[in-house]
Amino acid sequence: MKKKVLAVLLAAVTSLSLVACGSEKAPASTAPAASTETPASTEEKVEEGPDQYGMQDGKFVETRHISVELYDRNVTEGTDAGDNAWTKWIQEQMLDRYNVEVEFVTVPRWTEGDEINNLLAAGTAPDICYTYSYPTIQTYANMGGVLDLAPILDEYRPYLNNMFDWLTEDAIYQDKDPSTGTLWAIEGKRNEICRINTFVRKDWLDKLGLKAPTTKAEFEEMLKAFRDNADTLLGADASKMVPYSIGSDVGWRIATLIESFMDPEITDKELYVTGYDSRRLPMNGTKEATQLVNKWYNDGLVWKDFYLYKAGDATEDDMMKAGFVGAFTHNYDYPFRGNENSINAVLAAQFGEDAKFVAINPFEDKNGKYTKYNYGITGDRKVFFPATNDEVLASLLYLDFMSEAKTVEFLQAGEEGVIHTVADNGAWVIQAPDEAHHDWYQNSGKNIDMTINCNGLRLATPELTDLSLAYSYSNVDVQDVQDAIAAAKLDWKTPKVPTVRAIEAEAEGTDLDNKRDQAFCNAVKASVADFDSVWTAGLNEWLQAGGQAIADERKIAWEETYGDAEMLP
Amino acid sequence: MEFGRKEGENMKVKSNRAKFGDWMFVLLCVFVAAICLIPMLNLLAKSLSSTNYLIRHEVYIWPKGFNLDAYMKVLADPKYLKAFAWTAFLTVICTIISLTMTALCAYPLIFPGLKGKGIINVMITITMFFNAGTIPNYLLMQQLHLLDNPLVLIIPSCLSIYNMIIMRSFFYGIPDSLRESAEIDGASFFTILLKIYVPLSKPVFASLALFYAVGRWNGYGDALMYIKNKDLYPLQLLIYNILNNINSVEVATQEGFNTPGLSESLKSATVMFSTVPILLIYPWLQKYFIAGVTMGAVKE
Repeated sequence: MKKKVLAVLLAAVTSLSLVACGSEKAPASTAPAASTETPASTEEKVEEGPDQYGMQDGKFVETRHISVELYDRNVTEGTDAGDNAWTKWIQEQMLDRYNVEVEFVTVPRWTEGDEINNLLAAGTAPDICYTYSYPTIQTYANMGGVLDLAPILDEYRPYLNNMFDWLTEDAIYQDKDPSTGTLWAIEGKRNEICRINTFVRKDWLDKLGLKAPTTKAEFEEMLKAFRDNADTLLGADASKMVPYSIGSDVGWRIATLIESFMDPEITDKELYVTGYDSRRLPMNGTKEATQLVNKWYNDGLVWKDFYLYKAGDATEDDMMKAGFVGAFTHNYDYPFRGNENSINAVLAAQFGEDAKFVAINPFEDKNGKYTKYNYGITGDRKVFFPATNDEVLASLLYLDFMSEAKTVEFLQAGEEGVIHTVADNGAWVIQAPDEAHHDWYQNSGKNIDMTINCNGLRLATPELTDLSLAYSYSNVDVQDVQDAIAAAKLDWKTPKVPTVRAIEAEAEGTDLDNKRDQAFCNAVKASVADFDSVWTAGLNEWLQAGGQAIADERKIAWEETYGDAEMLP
Repeated sequence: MEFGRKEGENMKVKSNRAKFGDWMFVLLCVFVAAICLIPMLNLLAKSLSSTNYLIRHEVYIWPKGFNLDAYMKVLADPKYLKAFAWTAFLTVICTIISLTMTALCAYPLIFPGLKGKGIINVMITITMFFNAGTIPNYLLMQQLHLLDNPLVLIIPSCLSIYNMIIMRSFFYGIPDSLRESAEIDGASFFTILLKIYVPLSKPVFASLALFYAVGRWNGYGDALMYIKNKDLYPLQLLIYNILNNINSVEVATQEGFNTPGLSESLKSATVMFSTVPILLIYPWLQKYFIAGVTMGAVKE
């Protein structure tokens, strides 16, 4: 009896599953037939029909749906990151142009790495993801979690003219592995590549009758003059005088000084092999630069507590705003950032218009020039598609839409009168929207979180962009900004990026950056006599922790691609 | 008489010594209290000071350029008030559920005859030392459909093994004879828990309630990972986000702009706003702590 029941059950299950298979297969087997036959039979009557991707006149016939990652910075006075006038505008445009529905997936800015890891692991990552961390992408690519974009770009190339025009082939294929041919991510492009400037208090120079220093020796003399005239410059606050301020990220804060000690004729190969660390710890010249700062530190010319505060702490900014700092080296536009809270605006409010930081070029190299490196146009955000993306073309069209100059211009500068006004000389002046247009508030500067593959001002023409750049800061003197841009561009060089395979040693989660900062800080605050031993110890620790392995692998990777060549073609 | 005087002298010497010891102890307490209090006072002073003094780092314990603007701003912002109410609600609910779960877990474990007690204890203890990690936990929450669900702030953390062990130890301290006599009188398993163990364990309930409440009030890690809907953000996550919107050098160099941050006084005011309410619970629970001390003093 039992056997009979079992047999009947089995039979029933088998026949059901066959039916199920049949019904599943049916559309699959008929669909291609229909799509191949229909165009053939109707070719003569109707010229156009949906192409093999379901597109007609550059638009999908059926509405497609994609999801796109968007950073959420939880700005106090901002709008809902995933639902505001800007996101609605993008959604309308994409639907209108391509019949693609866009859904934004917001990811907290400060924990984006963890969040993207979670989403990828759960298989719920948005179709278009971006991150600054290539190792994160590489890790998931190794596990099969990321789409290889190389064949995809080949297939859909005709749809992607805007993207190829904007990013250029160089940037698009930057991360292509020369040996395997895989491409896991498309690098975004920087449109503002000025990097670092040294600033000095203009009014202090005037008060002491000094001219702006143009050499390291003059710079040192100036710092000594600040130190020795603290009473004149600061009165009751003389004890708070800081002639030259640096922070715990020393490599960044003395970057142009380091570059002035580097060999201006350094080969592309050496720059690449020893250049994993953006702070250039292991490079020739860095030790000498740090030694000079160490001497200044022991002479009382450098902020004595610089190593105590981590990046992001406001103590140093506050010292600058309170007027205790004479000079510092930082981002090329540092004193202009932050509208009415910018360093220069706060100084002016307290001590008058003359109290301000201006950019100078005091660190000459061995040729007497001011060689410095800019950011280079690539190496910014990396856009990738997780393996769960089943709307590849629609996603690529989104990137193409975001590469169009008009799109970026609108996202950065909005409508005239709302987000920008036009100055007498034609420059666009970007401003915050008023109360009535609060929904147009930009939650990230120039909507950088939306202009997915563009970092920096990009208006319709390069001329307008250049003209307007200095006007994108409010509450500061436009001339000061223009001078700072000119100072940052003097003798600048663009670091060339070789096309080599992925360096596995870089993907390992090491604590290299902290070790680097530690090595720099210890060396600067060592006594002059101990400098050599402290420097060597710190550098060796960094090398042993992974720095050496990365340099070795980079050397091999370079030689695999370029053989004996020392310079890039 | 002689003898008595001697005794009195001795006592005097003793009490002098005791006085000196007391004073040392008082000094130590004051010192420790000051260490705890000074950062709070510093925050309070900052929240009441004007920016001009704050950027000069001149504000320590007393406010300079006294003003209430920061508090006005915080109290006028519906976002804070909403998060405050939601977090208070969550704290109450979580505390009640957690105490119930803790008691229900601890109570059976004190019965000597519980079958498989050894295995249960081992399994429970393992969870104290091993954690699956961020991504497995995330996947678990996803499959339980708890992502973006307010329950995710309540259920996963409703039982702390550490707290359960404290409660179990306290239950062990209650004489078995009490339970046995109740059993003889015909009281059921749950009646004994409700009528004998819970009333006798008020001090431990009070302490654990405080642990749970403070934990929930201050917790934001779970919300950060699992909650996207901003209406469900607890107060601490809101503050975490605000305090993180800083001009970090690394981020600024990458992104070429600073996210507008809050002034130091507004930051301090939001932190005060979120800290003071939970502090107010302590004095209210104080008497139970004293009860707990005296109760532990007498052992059978």
